Amino acid sequence: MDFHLTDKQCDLRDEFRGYFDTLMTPELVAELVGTPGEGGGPLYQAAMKKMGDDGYIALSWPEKFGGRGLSALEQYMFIEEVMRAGFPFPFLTTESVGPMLRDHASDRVRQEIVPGIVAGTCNVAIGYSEPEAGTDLASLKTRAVRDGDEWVINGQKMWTSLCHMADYVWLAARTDPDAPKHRGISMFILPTNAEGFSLSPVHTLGGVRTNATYYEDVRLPADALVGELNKGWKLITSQLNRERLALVNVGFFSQKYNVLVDWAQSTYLIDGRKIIDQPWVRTHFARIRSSLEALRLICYKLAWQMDSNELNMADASAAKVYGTELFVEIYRLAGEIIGQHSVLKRDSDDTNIGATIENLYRTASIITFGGGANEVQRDIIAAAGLWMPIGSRMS
Amino acid sequence: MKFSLTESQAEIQQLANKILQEQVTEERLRNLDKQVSGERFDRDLWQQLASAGLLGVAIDESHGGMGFDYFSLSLLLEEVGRSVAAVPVVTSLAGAAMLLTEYASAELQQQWLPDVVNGQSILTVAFSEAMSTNDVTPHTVTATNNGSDYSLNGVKHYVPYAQHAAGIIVSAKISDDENVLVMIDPSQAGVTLDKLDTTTAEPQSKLTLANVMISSSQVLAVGEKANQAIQYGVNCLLTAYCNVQLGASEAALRMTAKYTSERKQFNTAIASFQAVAQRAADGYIDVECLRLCTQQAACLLSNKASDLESQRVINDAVTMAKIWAGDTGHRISYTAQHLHGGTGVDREYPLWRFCLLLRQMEFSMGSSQQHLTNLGDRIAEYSVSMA
Ligand SMILES: Cc1cc2nc3c(=O)[nH]c(=O)nc-3n(C[C@H](O)[C@H](O)[C@H](O)COP(=O)(O)OP(=O)(O)OC[C@H]3O[C@@H](n4cnc5c(N)ncnc54)[C@H](O)[C@@H]3O)c2cc1C
Repeated sequence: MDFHLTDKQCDLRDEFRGYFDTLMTPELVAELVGTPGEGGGPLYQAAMKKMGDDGYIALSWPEKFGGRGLSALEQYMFIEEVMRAGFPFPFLTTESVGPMLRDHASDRVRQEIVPGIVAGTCNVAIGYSEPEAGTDLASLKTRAVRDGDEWVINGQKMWTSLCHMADYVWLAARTDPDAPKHRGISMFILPTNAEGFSLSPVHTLGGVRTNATYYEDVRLPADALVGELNKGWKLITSQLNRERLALVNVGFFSQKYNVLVDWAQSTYLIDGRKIIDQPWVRTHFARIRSSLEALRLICYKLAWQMDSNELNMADASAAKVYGTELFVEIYRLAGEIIGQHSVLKRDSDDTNIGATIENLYRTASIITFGGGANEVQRDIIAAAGLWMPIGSRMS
Repeated sequence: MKFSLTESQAEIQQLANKILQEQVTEERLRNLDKQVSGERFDRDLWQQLASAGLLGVAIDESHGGMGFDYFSLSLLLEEVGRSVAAVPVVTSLAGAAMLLTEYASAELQQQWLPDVVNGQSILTVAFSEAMSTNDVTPHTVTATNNGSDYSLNGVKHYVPYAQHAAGIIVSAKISDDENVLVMIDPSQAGVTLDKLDTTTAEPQSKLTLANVMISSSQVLAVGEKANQAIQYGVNCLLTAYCNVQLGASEAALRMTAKYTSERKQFNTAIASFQAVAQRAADGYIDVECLRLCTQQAACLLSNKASDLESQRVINDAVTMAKIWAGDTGHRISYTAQHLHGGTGVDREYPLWRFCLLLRQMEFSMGSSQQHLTNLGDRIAEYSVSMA
């Protein structure tokens, strides 16, 4: 048992931190405030391209694919730094969709898309969810029917985030309506300029724009199918644990904690005391800090498990539930420390300490039902971690 | 970062688990409950652990021990929690023996440690004082200097196993900025032990000291060294409570998972009700948080580092672990009782002992709220930043 980072890992962290210190110019930060959580502005695009040029996008990929072959733990540390810096890095594309295309797409598709992902110039939206298929994703209805050398896609997707600036949709569609629901799904790559594709915006509580996407007789070449026919579910779930880990990365709040403590230590109340002189504020901070410590260790353990091929399903779900619910709780505690300023969208004194929490609070709930609803995660914990019979809920 | 045990650690864990799971049967525990004195102390088991060499896990080979570190000892502590065995591992091994190992003179070590290893002597530690908010600084127990000797006065509370101990390590205040740590013999003149009835029936005493004479050979540490030793001892004890809590929490949770998987109502296993499964899953998460924070504290305690920054990292890690120990213990206990229904509170069924142990560990040397307060004060002072 060892709770220290190796010297090499410390160097890596310094390198990443230094990199993002330079990347995050005040202008880029200002642009990102206007596009919370998703990026997409010109400076963001330029930053992505720069990261591509500097070889910073596919770090976890093997060297022969333009990566640096980072271990899961090193990759986790990278995302920690990305989040610490507040850069909306498209890690679903680089960690999940990209590797699937790299490993399973036809030669044509691979050559067309993968270099662009690694270069930071190609955006791929994820088309899993539908109006009727959320947590029970495998019940999705969008159809792909073979017609000669082509696939014909019909249906509707919901919550297709970033699609309005994406070049492709990574699409799950039903290819065998008669098979059991998990065994009739295949994966496709669909260009957003294809005829018959359209979208309309969906605006969310958190200020993040997402989309409803529509597919009307969209025709795709035969080799737009990725992986084997009817084996799409396996692809969808193959990266789930990595995704869950990225979702609850402690880097998301670690620097914000430091900033908030600093603020509370140096800001005065009207009665002359400092914010942090209030006993309950100290206890709030202690709660936040000790909870974050547990999250930090949970994440590192999971990354370590991935590297040593000992991944425990219950632990991955435990991390997801714990982390997502902790964030909601922390935004409440942090909001209380800040007071009514935490419901201001912009502070007149420019500290932005309240606005940060105002925004985070509005986005926090997404991850408790997204990425696998927490009830389902708890079911997985009960079944895989405590061997409890959970009946037929999971099928 | 590495989350696996070394080969020797795994062996210690397996050995401890095997002995404790085999020996600490329900029948044995019931017999202990019937002891006339009303105290739970399993002397035979203590001797068995000694014969297996386990009492010397973290004691140097020159005293007959195995010579491993605190972390290896923590594996034994966890197994004791898992089995609710009635033995003084926390106070004698994690407390007194670690303090002797790290701070005492060669003579004191030679005097006590071989007998700790072979099970002849139990030692204990008296840090806590009534109405104190912090066990690191002695307040009411004073040491008056007479040349090279001291005379001790005052009252210590909640001293585990004091009535069975051959030696008690006591912290005392010399002046506002000077403390001393001494080893007393409970049969010394001026020492009175008053038995306390604890919720688990673990033996504990109130220790009254009236002009107890301490010769220089009984002194472990004085001045700055005493302050360091007291902090180290407190850290070792707190982490030990966390380790026991970890084993006990996990056992109570697994017992609950098993019971609810077998118990049927409405023609179905009650575990198949989602509300039941989800509450147990929350318990799993709590135990995992406690496990990782505790293991981190135990690991840090094994690496000696005395600079201020490292010392803070250790103190904070221990405090956070104890916060988790209090919270997890409380929640697991009530989850387990609730999901068991009436069976959980029936003394014919083993759960109740775990619930009492969880409660006692929760409150030993500071509740969660008290440790949150301590951590909050340190955040105000030096931020306890996230890396
Ligand atoms: C901002 C945003 C961005 C998104 N981006 C994308 C994207 O890019 N691509 C994409 O494909 N999807 C995306 N999603 C969709 C997201 O994955 C879904 O919201 C999620 O899968 C939950 O589905 P649902 O919203 O239909 O909720 P439902 O499935 O209807 O669930 C609602 C609630 O029902 C309860 N529930 C459901 N199942 C169970 C069960 N088995 N046991 C107990 N309780 C249960 C839970 O409380 C759950 O929270 C996004 C969503 C949002 C809000």
